[in-house]
Amino acid sequence: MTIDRRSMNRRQMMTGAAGLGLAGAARPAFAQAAGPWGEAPKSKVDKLNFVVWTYGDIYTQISKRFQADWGVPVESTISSFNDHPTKLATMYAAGEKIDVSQSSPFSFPNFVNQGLAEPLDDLPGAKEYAADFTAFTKQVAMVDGKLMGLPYFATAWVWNYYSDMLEKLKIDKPFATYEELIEHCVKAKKDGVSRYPILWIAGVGLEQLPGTWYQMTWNKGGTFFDKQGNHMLGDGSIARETLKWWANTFEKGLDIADPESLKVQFTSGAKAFGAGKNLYRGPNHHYGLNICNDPAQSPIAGKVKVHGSPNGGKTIADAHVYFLCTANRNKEWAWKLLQYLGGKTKDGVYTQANTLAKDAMLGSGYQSVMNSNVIKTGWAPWGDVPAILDIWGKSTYIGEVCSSIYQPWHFPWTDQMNIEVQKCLTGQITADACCDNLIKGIAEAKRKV
Amino acid sequence: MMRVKSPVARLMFHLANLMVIVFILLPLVATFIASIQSEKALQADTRRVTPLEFTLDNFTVILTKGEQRGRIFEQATYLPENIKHFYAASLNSTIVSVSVTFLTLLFGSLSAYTIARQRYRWTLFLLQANIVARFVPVIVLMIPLYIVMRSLGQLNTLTGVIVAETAFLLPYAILILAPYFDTIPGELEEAARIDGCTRFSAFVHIVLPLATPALAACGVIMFIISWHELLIPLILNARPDFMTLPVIIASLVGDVHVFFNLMMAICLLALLPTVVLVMLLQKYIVEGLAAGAVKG
Amino acid sequence: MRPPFRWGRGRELSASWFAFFMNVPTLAFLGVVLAYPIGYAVYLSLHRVRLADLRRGVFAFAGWENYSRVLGDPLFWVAVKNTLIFTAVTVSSEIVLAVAIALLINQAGIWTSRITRSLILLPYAIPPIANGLIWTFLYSFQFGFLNRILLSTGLIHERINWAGNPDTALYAVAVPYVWRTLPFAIILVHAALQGIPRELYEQASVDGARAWHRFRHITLPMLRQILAVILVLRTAFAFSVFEEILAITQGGPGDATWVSAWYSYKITFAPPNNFGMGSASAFILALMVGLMAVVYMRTVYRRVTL
Repeated sequence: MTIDRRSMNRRQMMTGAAGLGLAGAARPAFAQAAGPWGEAPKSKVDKLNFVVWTYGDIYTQISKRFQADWGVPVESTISSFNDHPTKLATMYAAGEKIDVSQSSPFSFPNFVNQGLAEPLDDLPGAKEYAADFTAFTKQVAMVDGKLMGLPYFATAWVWNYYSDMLEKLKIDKPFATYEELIEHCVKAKKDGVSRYPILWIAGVGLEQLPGTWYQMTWNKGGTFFDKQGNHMLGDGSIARETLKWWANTFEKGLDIADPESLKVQFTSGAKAFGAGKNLYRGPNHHYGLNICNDPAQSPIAGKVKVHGSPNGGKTIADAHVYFLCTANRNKEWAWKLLQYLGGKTKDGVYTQANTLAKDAMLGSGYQSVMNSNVIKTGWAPWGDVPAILDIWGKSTYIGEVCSSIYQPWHFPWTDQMNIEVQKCLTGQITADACCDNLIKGIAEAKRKV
Repeated sequence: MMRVKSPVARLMFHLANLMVIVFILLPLVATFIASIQSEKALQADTRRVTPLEFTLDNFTVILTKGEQRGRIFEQATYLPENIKHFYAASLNSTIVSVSVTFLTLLFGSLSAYTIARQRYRWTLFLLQANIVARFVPVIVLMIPLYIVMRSLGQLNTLTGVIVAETAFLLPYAILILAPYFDTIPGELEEAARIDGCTRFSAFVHIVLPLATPALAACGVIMFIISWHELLIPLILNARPDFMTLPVIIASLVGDVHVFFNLMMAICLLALLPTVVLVMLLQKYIVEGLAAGAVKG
Repeated sequence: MRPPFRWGRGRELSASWFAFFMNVPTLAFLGVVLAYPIGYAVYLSLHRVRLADLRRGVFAFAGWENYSRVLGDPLFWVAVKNTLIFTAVTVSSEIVLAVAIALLINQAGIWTSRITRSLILLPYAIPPIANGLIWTFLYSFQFGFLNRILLSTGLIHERINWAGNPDTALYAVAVPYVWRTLPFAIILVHAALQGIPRELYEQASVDGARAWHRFRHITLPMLRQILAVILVLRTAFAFSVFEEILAITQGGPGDATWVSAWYSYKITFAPPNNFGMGSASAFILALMVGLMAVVYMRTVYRRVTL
């Protein structure tokens, strides 16, 4: 099943996905040893490798498992998330063999464009995987109608609040509108309960600072580009107004935003929030809860709650993928390895996705995993699972908000966005100037490709 | 040199010294304090200067490649992959630094000696070339160097890093050594040559032994710079088996899961060897640095 | 006239051939790892070089396109401006501090000066990247050591956002850089102080010259040459500051600490991996540094050497 995202509008996509979800749920989700995943390729290979960014020791485990199941040793190159594109690019350019690698949805069009990723459609079992994809996984993994990757994890943007502090302020429930959000923060500051009531995720990144802006713009009904690819950042646009409102929470405005915001990423933001100095944490990846609510890491464990967005809860989501690299040593075997990372192990189980859900609170790109008990029980120690899944249901793929992520120039343009928006948030330039610069920057970014 | 007499002036000097000492030691003290606490302790009281607890878990987890997690990391689902390569990286750093030190001393002394002794137009030109080469920043050459090493098949090897660093440091070694050789009187070699020594054996048997302090000075500086080098191994080697210590440290910069306690611990471990060297061989380093900048 | 080269037992190499052979390794290293890559950098900067091109090994000629793109990029000029400010700030403060601290550790009768002298070289031992990380801890807004000290001693009541404030970030990065590179400058000044003949001071004290006067008219003129050395060397090296930027600010907040080396690194090694533009921008940086090298050789080094 392949879907060309450009020829399909969102409504069709959602219905399509719902149908698939049902189909996925109707089939038994576990233990289908009799599928193509259980069969050994005919060719021989003495080793395989993958290049990924770091997450716990999942890669040691899965490599061991692969060798135990198939007798083929697996080498891994693991770097930090931010270093990963650099590492992959230099290894690829160096002419090294790379069987499987990984990508964020933002770099993926670039990697595909540069010829790093191999289409998967004709490989055994590929169609079954695609049929089980969630809606936005499909939007990442399908490029120009071709299946280019399998999902690593999926996440939706949620709000967090520190419940003890809310009680201390005698506010009975978290904000329902942006006006209320400001009200609560101003009160928290005035009452001396919190010097900086709100912590935003505004650290430099592909989806950190940009993600916060995308989420709030989408929530308020806006996008960054229209269907024809024209920017939506002009005078009076929702994105521009959102930025004005956002910047006003910083030092030069209401001064309720934690200056640490400009430094933090999702995980480091969760750690900072764990210090218990803020009331709210701005929209960001849902799994930060497994840090703020982990007694081993956080002084306020158990007191951090998840919260949906105003305006009916519209939010954004995305998925990261593994892909089969064109620089592979053996396509059949690389596909086998790719499935261990982004699909099923020999026993027909989504081993990796299940482990990630249980250990790291990550969401899956597969319908059958998202609907299974693994999520319901696995996530429970850190947060209100139904509430998160409810938010999940109101999410839209990030590419609908900012469609430039399908363009190779999105990367340099995001570099500029990080710079300009940080300048705006620190009061060096106005939101208007920031948006004007970004409009001009589109042409400049195209020249850097 | 000048005796300070007045008590007020003496007090001022003591105060000035105190400020300088605090400035030098402050970062290292902070590093130490962070490294003996857990992440939770550092977060619990963000105004506290003195440590809230004392634990060696941060060091233990690095030195046991993540196997002994101790109380702090007992429940951590995540540990940066690269800290598990600490020993391999230390070994790589040692191999690279020792090789680079050896090669720069070997080739550097050959060149420096001829530059000091043999006054041809081309040796003068070579000296000038070395002066200019000393200025070349690594960042400028990283791309072509990457491509050259790629075509030589030396990416992801220690050899590639050693060759590249040797070339980058050779000019500096020559600038440090040449002035020393210049101060050794030429009569000794001439006497040896009259006794039938070749030029080369006169160099090896007469000049080099006399230049031991210079070689020590130059060697320790080469070792330190090589131990600190980040960009060359970062760009030439992508595989964890060939990472050096600075590369591992740099990989923690982008790692959002790592907190200050673990970071400071690994920094302390990485800076220890060169700190010991510097403290033990201070005299040589001082001479070498001065000689390398101007004629000694 | 060069005598003919001959191999042979007992017959020795002539002086010039000897000199040549002694330099073969150096010439080989400089050729392969410095000269050729510099030439190659120029070549790359004139071609279109991206990931797939690199793997294929075929580059299309692009003329001056890479240079015009770099020079037309506003961020490049921000980086140049930041680099110049960073260099001016670090080099000038290093020179002032180096002279002051060298004079301080030169005081014979002050026992604390001996302690300082024994510690001076310590920062030289710290790997630059570790130095950067260490200062991220000192500067951290929420957890940092500097804010802890200042808050607990009551010197401040509100946390200071050292490296996160665009107005101060560049200076915040300059401090660790100065911290690490200052020993070099102090040692040079200190060595030069030893070389000032005592008689000059004795003469002056007979004349009843006061401390400032002695410094201004005896010490400083005698230090002029070494200060020129420090000025040129440190300027050249500060142009290519990288590790501290990488560790502490990664160019941010906004573009406040975006410097030339960081620009070249990012444009090359972050997607879309434009190696051609990266080479062009790096070569422009090389020209800036090369200019300093020529100044150094023509004016400073030559006068004091060989």
